[in-house]
Amino acid sequence: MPADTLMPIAIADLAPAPLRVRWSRQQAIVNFRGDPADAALLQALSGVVGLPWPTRAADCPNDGPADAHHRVVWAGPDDWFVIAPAGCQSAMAKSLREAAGSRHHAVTDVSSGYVVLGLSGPAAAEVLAQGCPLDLHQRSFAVGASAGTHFFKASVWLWRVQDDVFELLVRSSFAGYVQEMLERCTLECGIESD
Amino acid sequence: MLIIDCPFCGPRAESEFAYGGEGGIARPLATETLTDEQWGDYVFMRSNPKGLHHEQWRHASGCGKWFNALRDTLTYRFHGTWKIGAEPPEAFTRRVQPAAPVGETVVEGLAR
Repeated sequence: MPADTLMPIAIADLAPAPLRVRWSRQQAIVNFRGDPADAALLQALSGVVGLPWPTRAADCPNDGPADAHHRVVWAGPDDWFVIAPAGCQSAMAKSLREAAGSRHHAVTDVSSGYVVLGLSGPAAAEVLAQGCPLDLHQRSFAVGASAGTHFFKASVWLWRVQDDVFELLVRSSFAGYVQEMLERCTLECGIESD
Repeated sequence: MLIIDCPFCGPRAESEFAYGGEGGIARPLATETLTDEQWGDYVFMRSNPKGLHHEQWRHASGCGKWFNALRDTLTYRFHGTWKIGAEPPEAFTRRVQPAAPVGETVVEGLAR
């Protein structure tokens, strides 16, 4: 057998790229609760954020990097997080309230309670897998997939933005813990903070 | 790892869930008329079967919802999960109800 088929991997491929970590502490995060069976409500909400409004965990509509755009994260059958650019939490909460009108609903600004964590790099899925029980392979957790799960002992919301880009919604009080666990999980590939 | 089928999120690892004790225990309505023994039965006495057990679970690191589960306490196997208020799986109605524990008084109108 020729040598090149025995060693198909270049040495450079074996040196893993570092995990890039980005904490977005200023994002506007608004929790919305309402009736998921009310199609007119979902339509109105969808109009507010300019994205399809998800009705199951598997879908996390997004339109680009977290610091500039919107996300809607399914947090339960009647429970969603809307993530929007920094500073617009009041405007977003007001728009969501107006969309809900007189319907039974709740809008809560939770921007200070959560932070958005962006992880990118070819090692991102494997780093997460050390503390998260989900199968993060593309065939079962594709781009756009979202899930409530845990990273070690921290409950997080996790979604995939691109093949090797993930975002997590982490409770602010767990941010230090999650950062420490990330540092322990990246001993092989290294870690870089934005 | 044990996989539990959340009725809202689908099959997930057990580490995302929290156990909530025996399911289907209705709170007595006229609590002021209960004797101490009856109140103690409601609060403390559980069926503790060897075999199929009606349980409450919560998808704590997930959707946060409570749901019913039917689990075999001998094999750990889950025989089904269902939403609160929904129709239970067929194995639930077929299961052999455990006898009341010794010393337990049966309170009228208290669903077991």
